[in-house]
Amino acid sequence: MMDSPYDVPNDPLSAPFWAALQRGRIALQYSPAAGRWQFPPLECCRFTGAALEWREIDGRGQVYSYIVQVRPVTPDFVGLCPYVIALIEPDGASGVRLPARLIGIEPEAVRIGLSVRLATAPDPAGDRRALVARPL
Amino acid sequence: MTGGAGEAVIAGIGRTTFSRKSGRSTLGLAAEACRAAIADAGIATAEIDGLVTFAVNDAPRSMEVAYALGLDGTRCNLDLFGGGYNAPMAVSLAVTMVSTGQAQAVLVYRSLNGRSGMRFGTGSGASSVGGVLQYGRPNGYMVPGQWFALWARRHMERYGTTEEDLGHVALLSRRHAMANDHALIRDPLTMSDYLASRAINLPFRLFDCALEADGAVALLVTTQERARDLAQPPVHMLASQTFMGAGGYNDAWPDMTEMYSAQLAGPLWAQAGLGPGDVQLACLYDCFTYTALCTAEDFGFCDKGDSGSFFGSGRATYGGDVVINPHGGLLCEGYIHGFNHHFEAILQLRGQAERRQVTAARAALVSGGGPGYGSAVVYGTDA
Repeated sequence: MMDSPYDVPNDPLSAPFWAALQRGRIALQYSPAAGRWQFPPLECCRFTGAALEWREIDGRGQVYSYIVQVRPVTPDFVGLCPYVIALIEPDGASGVRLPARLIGIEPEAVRIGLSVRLATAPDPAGDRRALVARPL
Repeated sequence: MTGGAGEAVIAGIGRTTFSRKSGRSTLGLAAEACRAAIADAGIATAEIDGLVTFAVNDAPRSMEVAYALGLDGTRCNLDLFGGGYNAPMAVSLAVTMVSTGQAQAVLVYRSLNGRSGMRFGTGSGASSVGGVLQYGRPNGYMVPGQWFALWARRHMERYGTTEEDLGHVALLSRRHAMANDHALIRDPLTMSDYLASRAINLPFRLFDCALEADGAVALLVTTQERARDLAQPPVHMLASQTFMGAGGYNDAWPDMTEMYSAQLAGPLWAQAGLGPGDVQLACLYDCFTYTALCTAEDFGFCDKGDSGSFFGSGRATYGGDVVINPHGGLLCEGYIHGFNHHFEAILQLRGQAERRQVTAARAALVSGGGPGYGSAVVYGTDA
């Protein structure tokens, strides 16, 4: 963990999200009281103040928008460039958009609305898992 | 705008040289810009009894600037945290302080070493990030240029906006900057130069991004009554509106082809008693080219989806509908976090912009912020 180029924050709100991701799962908060999904995580439902449940999603979704990262923001992404960062709308979790690296497709072929499946893959440092998406 | 103590006006403006490497403290820059605004107004420094600023942990607090100005007791100090979305609101808060009698003469300023110090676009120092940034960090998604480019892509998809349309904003800003000796970049720019500029995160290239700069800008706000005896013609604030959407989480914004500006344009024009056809210039926040494109539509300067041709066909410059960013904007004059937009608007409304003076400038819109949150004001020569 010491060698990672970044640190996952010590954040009780996000800890379940990161823990699921390291197991290869995608977990989001759902509010039974509001009947709505919520991301980023909070202590309680932002619509009703009621308790939340963590639920795993199957990862299918669509590209809402995307960019082609040609120059890395930080040096640990040099080897990945150019790569695609996309906002994914997971099926069945209305209102949520998740930032993911889109892999398995040439940047020129990416389109808004593309059907994808969210998954996890090692981050550039290889010691944690990050959200990725592949075309279905 | 008026309150219990009468109307407040903008009575002075000041700024430092803008550069890529000031070699100075942001405290020193702030004090210089504030003293310039005081001198411009012709007011005594001792009359200053309030300071307002905004910053992101990259500049001194207002009480330190007060100390540097020799003020040993002020009545209103306000330190806002955040980016350019605060710029119009900061001026509005100073107007409120003065018009409600909480202060008599308030300096509003922004000082930063935005190029040589803390930079917004590099992710420097962001190896450990919290809040909403933590979810993008594992994929290298964490800076504003990426957020705005995602919004731009949606607009391109929906309205057929092209990369050349983004380029039209860059070219217009450059042409305007060529008449501004204070602008950091003044070389001619062609569309092929623009398209050949370094790709950052497509659809954005280097010339889609504001020019990071070191420098400071200050405005002086006082009562209309006091301004009668001061050196400069007063400029009035006709309207001020803020809209904070998406709870600070831009990725969840419902429709990324519209910004905060779509929400506040109606109330702003209504409050001013004016419409987009009644201002002769607009300083639209152009942290990126796309921000100017989208907000020009939202504020009603052109139809939704039509901003590419608005910027490309001469409607946004001298002889057209309205002059957008006559100083060259944040893209070319420099990124003083949007506060230099206010200096330019006041200068133009005072008729002091020399070779880039907009003819018969009587009212100006100034915006700040995006994508989901921002503020805007309308200034005028008459109350």
